[in-house]
Amino acid sequence: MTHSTAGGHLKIYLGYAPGVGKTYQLLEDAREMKARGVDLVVGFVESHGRSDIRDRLEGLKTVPLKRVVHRGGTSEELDVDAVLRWSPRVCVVDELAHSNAPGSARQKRWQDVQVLLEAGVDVLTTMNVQDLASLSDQIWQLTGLRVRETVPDWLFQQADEVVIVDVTPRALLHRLERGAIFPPDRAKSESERLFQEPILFALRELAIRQTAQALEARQTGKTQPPGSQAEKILVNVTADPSTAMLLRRARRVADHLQAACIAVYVHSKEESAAVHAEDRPTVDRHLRFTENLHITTEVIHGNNRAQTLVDYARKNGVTQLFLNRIARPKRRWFPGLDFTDQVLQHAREMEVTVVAQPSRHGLAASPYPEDEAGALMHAGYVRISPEATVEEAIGEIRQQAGQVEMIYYAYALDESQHLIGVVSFRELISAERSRKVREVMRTDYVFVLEDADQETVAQLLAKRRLLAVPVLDQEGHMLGIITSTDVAGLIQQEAGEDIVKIGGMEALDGPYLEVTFGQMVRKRAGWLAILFVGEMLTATAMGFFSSEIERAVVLALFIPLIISSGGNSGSQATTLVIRAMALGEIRLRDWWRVIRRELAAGLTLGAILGVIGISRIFLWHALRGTYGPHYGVVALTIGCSLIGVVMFGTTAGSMLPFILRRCGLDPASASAPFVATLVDVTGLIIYFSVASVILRGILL
Amino acid sequence: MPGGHYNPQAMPGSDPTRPDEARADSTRGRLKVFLGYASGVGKSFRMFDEARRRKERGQDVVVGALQPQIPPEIKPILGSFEIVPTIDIEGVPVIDVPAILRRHPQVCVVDGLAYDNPWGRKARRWQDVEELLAHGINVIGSVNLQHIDDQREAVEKLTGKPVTETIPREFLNTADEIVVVDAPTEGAPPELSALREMALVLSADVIDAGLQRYLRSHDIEPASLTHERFLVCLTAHANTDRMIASARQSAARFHCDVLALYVRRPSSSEKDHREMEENLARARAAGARVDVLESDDPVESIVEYARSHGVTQIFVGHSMKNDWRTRLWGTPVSRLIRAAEGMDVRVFPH
Repeated sequence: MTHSTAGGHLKIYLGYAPGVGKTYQLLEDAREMKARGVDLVVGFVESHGRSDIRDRLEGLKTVPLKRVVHRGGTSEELDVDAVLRWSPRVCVVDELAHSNAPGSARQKRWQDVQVLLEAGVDVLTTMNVQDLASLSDQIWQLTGLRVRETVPDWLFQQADEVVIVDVTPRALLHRLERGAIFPPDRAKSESERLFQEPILFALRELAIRQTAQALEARQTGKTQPPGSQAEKILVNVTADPSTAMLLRRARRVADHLQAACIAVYVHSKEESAAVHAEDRPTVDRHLRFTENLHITTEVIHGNNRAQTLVDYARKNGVTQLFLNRIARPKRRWFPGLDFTDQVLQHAREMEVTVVAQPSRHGLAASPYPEDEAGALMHAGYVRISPEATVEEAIGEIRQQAGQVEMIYYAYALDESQHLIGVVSFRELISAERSRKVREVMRTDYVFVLEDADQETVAQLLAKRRLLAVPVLDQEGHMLGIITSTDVAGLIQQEAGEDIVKIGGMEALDGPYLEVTFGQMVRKRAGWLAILFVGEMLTATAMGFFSSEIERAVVLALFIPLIISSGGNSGSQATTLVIRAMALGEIRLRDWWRVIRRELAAGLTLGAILGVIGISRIFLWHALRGTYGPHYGVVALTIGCSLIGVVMFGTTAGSMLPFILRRCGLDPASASAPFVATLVDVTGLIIYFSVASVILRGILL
Repeated sequence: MPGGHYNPQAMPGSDPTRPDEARADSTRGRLKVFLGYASGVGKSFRMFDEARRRKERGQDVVVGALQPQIPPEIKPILGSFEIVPTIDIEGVPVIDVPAILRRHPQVCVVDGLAYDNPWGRKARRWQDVEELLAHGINVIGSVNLQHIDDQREAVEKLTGKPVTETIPREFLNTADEIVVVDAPTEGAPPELSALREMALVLSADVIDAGLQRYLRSHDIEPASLTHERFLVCLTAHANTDRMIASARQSAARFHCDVLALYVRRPSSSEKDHREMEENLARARAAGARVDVLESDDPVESIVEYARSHGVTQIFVGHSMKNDWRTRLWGTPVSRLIRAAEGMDVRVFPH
């Protein structure tokens, strides 16, 4: 018998959904072993109130569970030390993927199992195929669920035996209907997600394929000495969030191809210190995740990232490079060579795999590995029981205050960690001491799901003026909180980006003084050239009105004044609208309200400018007589044109971001210069049209 | 999955696009198959155990066929069942279809689906079962891996024992439910592990056929979330042999299929085309299913084809060109990488 993990023999009963009968079959086998005289104990089995499981447990030696007290709650976990004291031949440990309650010696039950195996105890355990860490993305695509409690693939691969516990989906659905799987109240939420025929079909197929794969790996593992793999995969670790998926995918492919797998992060000297400092925490997290997947990691230094990566690969006999698909900057003209292209150029003798980003109904996956769902989230928050009195709750808060992230709200959870209600400290302190928390808490609380994107969370907090928001999983279990300070940086960061774009250019990739002169010119020249070509239209428009200008030269004096007023008012409106959009104050459907406001604003602003303009003409005329005998009509023309141009400017400026967003473009690229160019040309047309109406027969 | 491009040589009958008229008939009986990877894994026991439970739930169950040697653990269960005995024709047990049809139970148990009836009304037992199903009788049957026609050869190689009687893979694919009767093989000879793996992969494929059938009948987009599918892009210059070989090797590991596509530009030269024909012939000889499309924009055609065929990984050769144009606009490969969202792109050296 080969023991790859340790002394003990690990046998996994693999299923594809709750209720397929994993625990049942495991206990059947355990009873049979017992009957054969094997020294066997039950370390942990959860009966979920099912009598068939309880019956199977009868007559088996059961090690009492360990009570773990943590923040006022108690939970029961596998007592590894007690099992080791019994020192049995075989130990039954149900639900391998379980996460131990905080305060336990080890975070994960599979780590407990490892300890048992190392001590030479054989372990019989159960898990579902969706608990496999590397399948996390596929399971999410299939079901929309992010599995939180996972088992690392390497542990699964090292199991000495994997048995598939199989029933057909139809039989399983029958069991569900009969209430044989969940107690009646829990059945609904779970069944909606998982217990749909096609999902069960797919999960079952995955489970069977996984068992076959584990079997094959073990067979070849016996004939093939370790380290003799022909294939060697190198994964490029970056700060990009999709790295987690890239790593999971690489792990899966490597397991299937029985290839060696390594991962490197290239620390490039070409990038500024600021970029490194910003990326560092994310990269560190990715490297930790890599090690969890049992992939060897290395950080290498070099100038060009692509070149350094490929050189390393070449030196280390890598046969396949794995890259993620990094979203390119939205540059349509002359995209040039991105990182992927550069790697492809350098690595012409290597296989390069660019890995897909999984999506579901067009939505990108939450990229964080299972235990980091919601990168912003804190697990430390005040939890109280809904049945406690206000008096008790306040005492509880006093106890927890030192350990929790923020103390403005307390969260009432039931025994299975479902969030029942939220109560602010203010409400709690002002409530009567003898009342129950249940009576004073709010049940219509605001929450976010764990896969909500950060921007949504930021907007929600800003809009509702909340200090913190709870994060729940699909079943309503409380996962943690996100506070407004966590997202404050985020909003600023995004607004900053937008502001740079409003200026009619792309963000520089680093601090102003660190960006090279060439890069700066390249970034700015493109935009200037485009705007320049746009402004040429003004020459065309003026050519069109050349006869009017010839006849009334006085009109030409006011051209810069008119068109810059239009441009300025347009830029102003654009900036305001983009800001409001970025902060989530207005949405697409609000366009009608915006246009009405801007029309009115344009009218008023135009009138103000018009009055100033007219006053100046009268004043100058009185002082110097500059504008000829018809100065009154000229003043009227200027006044009316200003109103028209400013109204057009505000309307166009405010609507352009809406149109761009509607077309799926980033409204921030509706840079003010664009609006200015547009309004310059139309401003001329408005000006001369007004002039031709008012001055017809007088000057024209 | 539209176009169902399972490799017809490796997996005959697994093409899930086959019009499935029988399925549309709601009065047709349901077929449930218990698949074992060797004799003695207990599939008959599991099957009769299920039949017993169905009987206890009030279903009308009869036994239509038994194995010549009844395993001892089944004997006690068997007593409670009504048995319609097989007819002996020239020493071959044949299901008494007319008798069962007259009796018309809800469920008929057939232990051993792969029997030939050389002198019966139908040449093969599975055809008798087909008739029962067509008459609205549900059938529970058992079969061993070596009796599935496309698995027979591989099993014979492993066991050295010749197999004569088989059922077609198409018939197995129509099963509404398949149960793989799994028993761990730790400590058993490696051949047995190999058989067990084959049985698991086979039942996963049968489940997938059912899944695709379900998706089609409910007008749901095909999805390749459960298994891989590779597409090799052939061009006149690419190193076709290496790509095909590598794809085949990976496909064997992933237990999945390989498609190959050649997009012919209307402007391509006669010489290119001749060279390509040779490449295509080699790809076909290597067992890939090859499609040829004509288009001016190969990148777009490849992505479209890949999407509609549920491809998970595209194999393509490195671009040869490296001039100022590729520096400005990127190579076709980088365009492909950008366009093929949701799929892996694996780029091969020349």
